Amino acid sequence: MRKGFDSEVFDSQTVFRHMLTAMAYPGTISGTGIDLFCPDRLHGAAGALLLTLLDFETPLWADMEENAPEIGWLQFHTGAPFTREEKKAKFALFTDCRTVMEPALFNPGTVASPDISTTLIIQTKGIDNDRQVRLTGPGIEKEVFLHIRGITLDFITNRMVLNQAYPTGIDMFFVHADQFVALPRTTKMELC
Amino acid sequence: MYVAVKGGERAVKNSQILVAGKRRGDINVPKITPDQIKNQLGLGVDRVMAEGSLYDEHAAAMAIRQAQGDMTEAIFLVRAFRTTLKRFGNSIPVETTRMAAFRRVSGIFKDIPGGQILGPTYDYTHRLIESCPEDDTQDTRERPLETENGMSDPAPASHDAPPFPGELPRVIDILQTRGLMQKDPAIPPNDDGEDLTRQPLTFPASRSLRLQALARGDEGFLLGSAYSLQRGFGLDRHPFLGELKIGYAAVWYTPPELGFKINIGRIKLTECFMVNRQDDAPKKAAGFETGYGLVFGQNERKAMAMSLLDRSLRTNENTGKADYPARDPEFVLSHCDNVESSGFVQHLKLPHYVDFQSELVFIRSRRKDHVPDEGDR
Amino acid sequence: MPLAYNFAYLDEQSKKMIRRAILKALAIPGFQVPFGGREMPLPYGWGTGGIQLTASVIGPDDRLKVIDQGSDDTVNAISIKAFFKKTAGIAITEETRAATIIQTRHRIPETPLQKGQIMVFQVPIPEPLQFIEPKKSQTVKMHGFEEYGSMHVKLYEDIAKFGRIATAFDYPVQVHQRYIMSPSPIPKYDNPKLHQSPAIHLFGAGREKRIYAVPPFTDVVSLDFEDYPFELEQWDGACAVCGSQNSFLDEIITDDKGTRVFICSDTEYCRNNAGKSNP
Repeated sequence: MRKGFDSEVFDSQTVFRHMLTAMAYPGTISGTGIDLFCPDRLHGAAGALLLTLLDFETPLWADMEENAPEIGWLQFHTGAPFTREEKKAKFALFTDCRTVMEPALFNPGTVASPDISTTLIIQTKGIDNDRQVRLTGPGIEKEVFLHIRGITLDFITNRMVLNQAYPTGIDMFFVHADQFVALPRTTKMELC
Repeated sequence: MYVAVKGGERAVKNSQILVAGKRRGDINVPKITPDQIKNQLGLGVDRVMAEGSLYDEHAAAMAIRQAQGDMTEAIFLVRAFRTTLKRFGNSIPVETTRMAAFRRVSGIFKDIPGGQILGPTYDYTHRLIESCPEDDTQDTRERPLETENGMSDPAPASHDAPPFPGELPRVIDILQTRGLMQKDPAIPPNDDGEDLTRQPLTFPASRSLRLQALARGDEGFLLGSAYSLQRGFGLDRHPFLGELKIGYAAVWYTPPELGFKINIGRIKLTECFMVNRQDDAPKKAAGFETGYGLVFGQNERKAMAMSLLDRSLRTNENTGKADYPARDPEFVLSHCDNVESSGFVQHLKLPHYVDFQSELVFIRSRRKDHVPDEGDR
Repeated sequence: MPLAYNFAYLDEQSKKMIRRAILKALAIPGFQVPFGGREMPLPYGWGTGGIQLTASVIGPDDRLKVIDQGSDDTVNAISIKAFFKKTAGIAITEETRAATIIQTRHRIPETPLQKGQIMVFQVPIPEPLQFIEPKKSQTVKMHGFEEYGSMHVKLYEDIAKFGRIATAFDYPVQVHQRYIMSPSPIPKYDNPKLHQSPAIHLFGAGREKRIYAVPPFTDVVSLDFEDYPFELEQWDGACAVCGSQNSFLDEIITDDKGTRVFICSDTEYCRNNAGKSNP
């Protein structure tokens, strides 16, 4: 089995701080702060985010078979159970962003407990601050522009619909290689 | 110029030094050992283990000594120690009918299968402070007498070798077999791993979470709440003691890597069933209801109070109405933890002068008191 | 008894659980996320919620500032700093500008916060509706369905009775036009500092086992009425040490006749300000 973090304590803290900042300032592209070699289809940032957050209490959904080496690696290092049921997943991993169409298939939480929702980790073909979408909302001083390569128009439209259901919703991290960006449910996305 | 709050660091350090000195007391008096505490203050150790939620006699004894006998403080020490321990998994539920009991009484039948065992209890002692010789190296304790049914009470000091292994049927099971008792709303097997020490208490709380909260709840709070029920603040009838049993239960655990169960030790438990008449629910046949209590160690008062509360907190489970405090799950369960309540009541000792200043500004503005205070500059 | 604890005391699994709660809290501003709060070696009421947040966020490169009542040198602030020095070897600072994490009880520093800084608030009662409706089973629904009428009624009753809103500290706010939130028992003087703040504000209630957050650049509005707008505390005088007229002042009694002077509650701000005026 390929090794995970060099130091569980310090690597996970470093990655988490980058995630915290990313979630606090949506649209800001961040590195993970560590070097991590992940198996096969798993991008470095996706692996780092999941190793940081997963444990035996967090069922993981993925667009892969349960016996895929990437899943085996994540389970070996975190003990997270694998699930095929979207609504039961605390985290969902998309290795191919073209397959993520309808975020509402996952658990958006309930009005009383909007926090029990699924968080998506979506691997993309690249992220930069070109003008594909304009982001506004908490954590954004005025506006931020973002370009997520490979994401479908359907997805963007479906996410806009999901936005209306606030405070329920789905929070997302978009990943490419060792970079990532966070889009909490409060972030409004408009096509430029 | 008066400088407000400098020198805090030295004050904190000194207060730690002073409390360490007070704890040790007169240096000419020998230091007590955890062994002495375990042996001679065993019921105190039991209470600290129960409310500390950790079955570790040595840790409890150390905590009692460190807390100068302040039980709430000792419980807090054990809790804070407990949170740092690694969790291996869940044991198999203990079989309390197979407990090695050294005390077992029922108030509802003269005799019960397996027999009544009075065992070591203060119930029939006369509370006279006894003067005993300071030097008791000679064991002059009396031996228990043979009783008619051949069951002699065990010597109180030798709990390690309980004399009654084997099966003791539950008294309430007998009532159930005869159809007089509703099937206890069985606690569903805790497959989803509900665990009060790892998740916040939410309402409505399941019975499993309720029993967990009561089992580690403050003895005094439970006792007072149960007492209020008995005085009519929540019970309209006299409750009965179905069974109270104290003894040792084996703990079994199945390590995932082995796949079969192994015995990992035994723990002292007090188990209690209370019985109440139930004949006013429109859709139920008249009969009896029960409440359950289970506590680490020997603590009859706590187990009895717990079983009264388990039943009373079920009263309005469906309606959510709470007519008396001891029938209100949110009232009882949110306030029964003494680590929480002790902390929050006592945090008022911390400085609050900023908030108080806000209050002063408000009160002065409200009084429209334009005459300055005498001391104003 | 163990002699060696994990970095920043908490075990890694507890940190993971708290970190997940923090991310949710940021995603749902002002919503109280329930979390499996742990017993800490400091008592409930002494800042266990804030300590758990700090322990889950902090790393070896951080510079931590801890204040209580605005002061770096109050007993509990000292005790919490000692805890993180001992368990994590963390560098401590009193400079608001130099701190990466500021754990606080009852104040927000006067020095404006900056982007990337993390404020950690210690919260005793996270539920702003608690004194209107003590049952969590009810308040959860009130937040869910935005049933905030009773809060406005309570504030209006104040006006009827006192001619003004009577809450002086822990003054309720509405966050991102949605959740009503307790800003923790900061004086209402500090409320405006939360509105569109560039910093990250995390709130931890250990005993009540709730975590919530105000992300940067988020609307935080103190509840009021058009004809009775939100007002800040005012003092007639200035700080007796630095002369500041733009800071929250503590009243200090200097003799048994009730003679009093006013001094900045924020000791670091006061020291810097005094240094500026008397170089």
